Amino acid sequence: MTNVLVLGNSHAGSLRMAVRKGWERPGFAFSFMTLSGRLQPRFRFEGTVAFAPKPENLMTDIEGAKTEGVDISRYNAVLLSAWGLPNGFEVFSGKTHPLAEARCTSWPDAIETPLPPISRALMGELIADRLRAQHAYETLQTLAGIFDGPIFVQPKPKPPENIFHDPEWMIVQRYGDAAEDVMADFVAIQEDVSLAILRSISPDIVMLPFPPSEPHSLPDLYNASKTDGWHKNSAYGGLVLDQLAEALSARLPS
Amino acid sequence: MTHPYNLLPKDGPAFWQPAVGARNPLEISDLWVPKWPLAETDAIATAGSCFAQHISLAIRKRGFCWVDAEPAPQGLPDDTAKRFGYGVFSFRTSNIYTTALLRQWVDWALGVRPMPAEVWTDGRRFFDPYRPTIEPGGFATTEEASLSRQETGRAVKRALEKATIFVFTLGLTEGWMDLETDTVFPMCPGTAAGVFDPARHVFRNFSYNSIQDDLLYTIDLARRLNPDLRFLLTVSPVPLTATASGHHVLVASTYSKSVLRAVAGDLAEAYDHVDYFPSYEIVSSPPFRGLCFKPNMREVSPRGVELVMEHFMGAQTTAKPVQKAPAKAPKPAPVATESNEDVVCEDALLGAFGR
Repeated sequence: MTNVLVLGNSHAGSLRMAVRKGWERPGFAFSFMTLSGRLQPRFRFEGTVAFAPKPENLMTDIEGAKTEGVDISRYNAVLLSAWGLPNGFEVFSGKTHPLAEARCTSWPDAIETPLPPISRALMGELIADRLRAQHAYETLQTLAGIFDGPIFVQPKPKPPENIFHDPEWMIVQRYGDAAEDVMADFVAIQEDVSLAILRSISPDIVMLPFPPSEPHSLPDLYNASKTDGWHKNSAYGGLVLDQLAEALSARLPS
Repeated sequence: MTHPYNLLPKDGPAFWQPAVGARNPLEISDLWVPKWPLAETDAIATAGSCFAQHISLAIRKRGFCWVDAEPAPQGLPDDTAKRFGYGVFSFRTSNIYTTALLRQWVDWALGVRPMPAEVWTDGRRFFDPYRPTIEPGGFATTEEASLSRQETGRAVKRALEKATIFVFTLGLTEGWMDLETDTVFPMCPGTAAGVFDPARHVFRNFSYNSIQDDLLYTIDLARRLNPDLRFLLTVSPVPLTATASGHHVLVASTYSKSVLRAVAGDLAEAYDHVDYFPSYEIVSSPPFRGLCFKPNMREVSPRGVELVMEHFMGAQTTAKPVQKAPAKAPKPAPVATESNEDVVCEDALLGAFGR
């Protein structure tokens, strides 16, 4: 049996739901240690034992995890869910998201909100700076140092298709009809940058690809609910677990 | 018997012995009396050779309004911004070593001449011939390189419109031209990027007349856009790292700096809206005994930069209209040491090629 520990935040919910709804592959078992709400996957480690900084935020199916932590050395693999910058409504109104600070020269001028045009390489630097500031980066650095087994990373899901028809979404407000192309480019740059960052942490960390989707978005059939397209449902979680199982099968001795 | 020298103060700056010969070089003062002091209301744009970056830094550190016409994205870390040429000069032109290159940028910015479509590639990435090091790894596409250059052209125009003082440091007389596009490069093709084509890329050692023409033309063009714009010229004290003139590099450096110094001085003498700050003299003249240089006698040491900026900023506190009589020695303003390592100087690449 291959035991996989999922360390994550709200995006791990789709994986958990997939398992609860019967996703299964012979030889694989999953345990979840996830933080609720908008928290990023950040854990405190004592040796190989992971603790939630605030146990009250921990959602887990592992007995005793809230009080005694979870010894990751008991697992054959770890999946971090999810890695990437947020795409939601509120993040673009501040000055903390690359898409709120600049645009690539190849993108059209942002409507009513002039942004400095920069190269794709520099957009990559901006994204990398923000990714390295995320708790997920810190968590992966620690994991790479204490865990001997394979570490996998699930990329944060792409925006839902329907959001590109929402005039309230900042990307649509700024780029209009070009929003899809802008987001597709941003997703591609972020993917390249993420691969480089993860390689710099450890060449053994594997980032799972996006399940089949449009370059800029995911079909709405994967939305967690009618009102929440940023999170995904069990069908999407199943696709991610399929990818993980295949990647694990390739990595682990049979 | 009286003569003009009798009318000058005996202990003043007109006489070598009291002003220089009898002084510790660090106590030499009154080298510059600005025609117009920097005011809080001034907007100061900076460009030129790598030494001009020190002036940018000094102006910003002392709280003057420095024109940043092509700012970095707000959240970009400082070191990354600098690697990509942001915050170094008032726009992302990289170093402008020659007046011909300055003229070219201003022509492009003001629409006098169209920017050429020229972009270099190494087969994988793309490079702007007129700013070959502006993107550390090159651009992703030809289009991206062209669009970025056009944006910098717009930034040059914004800077000329907004600035009240344009500080330009003249760096070199030597440059390389493209016969096909009739344009000037900041660096020889093939050094930082591109491929040298002897049938197309030609060396020029710009003459006094050519440099003066380019500067006068540029100043005139810029002042048509912004009639209140004044020019503060300096000459980089950094010698050539390599010469293609056929002369010894020391001889070529002396020629180059002499011509630039003469042009800058003559324009400052001739025009009220042009001034000259003697950074070259502070670093390079014999009384300073080379103490402003690093051991390689080419790069300016942090202490040398500090000394230049003490003279520059110290003069601001006592600036007054041009006068021949000596002024009372100003007390140098305290300045923080600026690391010379932080200055982006692409022509040092030539040194690596020569080894």
